Amino acid sequence: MTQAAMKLGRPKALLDNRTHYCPGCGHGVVHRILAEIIDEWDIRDSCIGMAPVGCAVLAYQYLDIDMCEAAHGRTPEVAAGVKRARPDKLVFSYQGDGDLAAIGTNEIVHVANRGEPISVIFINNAVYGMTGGQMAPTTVPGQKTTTSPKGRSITGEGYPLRVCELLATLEQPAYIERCVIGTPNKIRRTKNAIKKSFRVQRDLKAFSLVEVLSPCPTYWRVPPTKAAEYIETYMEEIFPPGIIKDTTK
Amino acid sequence: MVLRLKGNEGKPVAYQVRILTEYCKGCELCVAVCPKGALEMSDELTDLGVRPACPKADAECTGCTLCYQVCPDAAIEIWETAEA
Ligand SMILES: Cc1ncc(C[n+]2csc(CCOP(=O)(O)OP(=O)(O)O)c2C)c(N)n1
Ligand code: SF4
Ligand code: SF4
Ligand code: SF4
Repeated sequence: MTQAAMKLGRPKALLDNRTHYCPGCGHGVVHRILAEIIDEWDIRDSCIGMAPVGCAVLAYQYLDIDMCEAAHGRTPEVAAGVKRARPDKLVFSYQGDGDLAAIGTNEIVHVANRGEPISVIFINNAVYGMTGGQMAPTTVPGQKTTTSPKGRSITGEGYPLRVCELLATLEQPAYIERCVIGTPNKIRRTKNAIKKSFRVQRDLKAFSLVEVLSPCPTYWRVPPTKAAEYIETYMEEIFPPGIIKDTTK
Repeated sequence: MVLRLKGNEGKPVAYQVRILTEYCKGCELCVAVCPKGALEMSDELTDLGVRPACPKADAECTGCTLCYQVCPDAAIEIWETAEA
């Protein structure tokens, strides 16, 4: 008789719903990473997430934790408020690059500057996904989007905004790292970084942010299997992965 | 290290990859990453109208979990099997 036992499967903190994300979308991988950490730490009842405006707007239909929704770009301030009201909870803000680096630039800078003890998961896919692939402040030079059909020009639109490096100049953030959803190895590093960000919040009560270079195959107009290469070729030079700031050591 | 199934001490296990087709969106990331070529795309369409990934009939899965790591839709399970 053959016995069988499941070694690895869907994390418990992921709800049974099928996501609305496109095939190969990085949001799904980051959701699974979050759900795995929530399971491993057994914090399903003591973790509160903030869903952004953007493709991840329905994150609360996928993660089995308490979640709030804020106006576009305002998630870090709402997260800071929730954390002040419930300091015993682990609070994270989940945001895209349009949300965090365009309409919400003001909020993220001040929340980081005040050292609010929250974790920010910053999904940088270099476009506005939800609204149809428009140019974002993080779009790389020459990248074609629906609003930069000839490619982003530096003279017209400036250089991509490096959020990690910008926030690292501030006094209070304790830990800032940039990761990638690409090869399994890079995905594992992303998970470790998010875990570390949660530890910084829990143990040091400090602000931290993990930027994730994340595939949007739909608006990069590449097949999902070419997205990892796309990040390596076009994004990693502008947005070098690695630890940008770490005062925890 | 040889993993063992509970209650089956002493007998080495084999691995099996299973695709949850209701979640699969046919992105092919798992097929591309598998070092054993143990996955392929099915010809049968799901209710989403996609060709899901499926285990190849005669290929060996080593349980390395790489396909699980890259799957954006948590549509993969890795099982251990053993003869009792
Ligand atoms: C106040 C306001 N302005 C504009 C919009 C339209 N809008 C919705 S999502 C979005 C951009 C989302 O892009 P990003 O944050 O990069 O997330 P992605 O969809 O790429 O994951 C915009 C501009 C809105 N919903 N509310
Ligand atoms: S548009 Fe891009 S970011 Fe949005 S779900 Fe599709 S692949 Fe993901
Ligand atoms: S677990 Fe490893 S060997 Fe098995 S199907 Fe997945 S990638 Fe291939
Ligand atoms: S990676 Fe996941 S969603 Fe993509 S084809 Fe494989 S099982 Fe399906």
